[in-house]
Amino acid sequence: MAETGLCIEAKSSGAGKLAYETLLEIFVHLDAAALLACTRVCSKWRIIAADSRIWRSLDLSHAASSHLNSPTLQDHVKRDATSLHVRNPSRLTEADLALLVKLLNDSSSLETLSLEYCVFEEPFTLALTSLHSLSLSGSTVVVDCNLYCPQLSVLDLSHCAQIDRTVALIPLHFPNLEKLSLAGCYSLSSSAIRGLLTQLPRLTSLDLRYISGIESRTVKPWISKTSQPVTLDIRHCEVFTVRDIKSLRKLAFEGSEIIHSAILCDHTEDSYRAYIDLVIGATVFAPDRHDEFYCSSLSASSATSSASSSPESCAVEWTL
Amino acid sequence: MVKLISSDGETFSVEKDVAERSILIKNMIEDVGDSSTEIPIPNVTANVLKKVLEWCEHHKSDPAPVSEDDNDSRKKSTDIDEWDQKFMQVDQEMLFEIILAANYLDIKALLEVGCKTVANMIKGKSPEEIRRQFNIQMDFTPEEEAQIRRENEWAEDR
Repeated sequence: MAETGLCIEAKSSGAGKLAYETLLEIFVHLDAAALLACTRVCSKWRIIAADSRIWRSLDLSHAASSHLNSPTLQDHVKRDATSLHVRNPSRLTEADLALLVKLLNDSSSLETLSLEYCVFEEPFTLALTSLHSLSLSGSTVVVDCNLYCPQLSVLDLSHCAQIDRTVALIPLHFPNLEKLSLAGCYSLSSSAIRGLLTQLPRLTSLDLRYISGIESRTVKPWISKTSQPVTLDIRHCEVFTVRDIKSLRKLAFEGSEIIHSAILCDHTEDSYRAYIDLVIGATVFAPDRHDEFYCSSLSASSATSSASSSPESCAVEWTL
Repeated sequence: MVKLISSDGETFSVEKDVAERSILIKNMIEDVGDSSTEIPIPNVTANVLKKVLEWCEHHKSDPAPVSEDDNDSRKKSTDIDEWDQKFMQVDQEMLFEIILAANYLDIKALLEVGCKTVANMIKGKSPEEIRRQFNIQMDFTPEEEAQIRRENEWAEDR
């Protein structure tokens, strides 16, 4: 083999023949728990598993307490990790998560952090000056958390319960936010979101899916004020009518994208009637809602029949 | 058509866009300027080259790989598409030969599939199980062993 120059040992068969760089390429795909096991396989693997390059992006979702308490892992988290991901960590206790947060605060180069579907019992402090992207999706975020991430541009708080007070603090903690997701935070009020939007001058992407309390005037000031293309996702926000979407689109900067699932044309009697026709029609004539073809053809024909009240009604993106 | 000669002298005739999944071969064809010349592949034997070309044939119209910048999430994922999974169901020796060939021929996507396959074989195993899986000798010096013990005072079994 011409590649022997790259080999650490010129073993002729099995994993021994893989070059350092190739093993590195393999180890990059491993999570933290597997990497720790690799440090104890043989001396060649031990050397490679200590390479800082493979610890840059870490997944601790499957890690257990013992891994988190390993000084090897702790060192790499502090020194090498630029991206750390934890999702629904079934083997980590609340005490482990507290330890993890402590480690993270000591890390020097973390840019991307996700702590998703984690249960935090105690408020925690997170001060990460280099962090660009934070996801706490689905986690129980305690109101009195002290978060300081001045560089943060992406924040995902989707499906977080009881974050009303946390939301009020977002502009204070993350003044440079560009992208925010609050999808599925049902309890948020229209005024809370409107207030928030006035204090985030750089925000250009907003996900508000499933928040039923919001309406057109919640996002209007933000949309009309922002002097660059924005992305707004308001699918499954029930109050929006097709007319609302149309007027929002007029206000928005050119190139903006509004993703919606509005079906009601406006708040006139005619359009409610068309809406009811559509819903009842679909219920009576297509009880099997899984029959998508039938349903979609039905909703299309209903939409056409009500076209006289508003030509917008063809823009139905709602499926039953 | 391009003619490739394996290290053990076997000739393979393949379409140009199949062969050019390999950046090495692509560059060679460009350098020679004539795709009818025979191209020797001195590092890859016929049985491995055949397998590699089978992969190239199936993936000949794949889009060019996306830039390396946003590779964090992609790298960590070990999801492999179904055809590739089946393709990689070979004995370990062949698997490593494919990885070596992909590395030599500079076929990034194939190298990645190979590496992910090996990564999946490592995942969830103890060091002892990994050694058994890949037939690796434990060769730690007493000092290293003592160090490993110290590092793992916290852990019971992993």
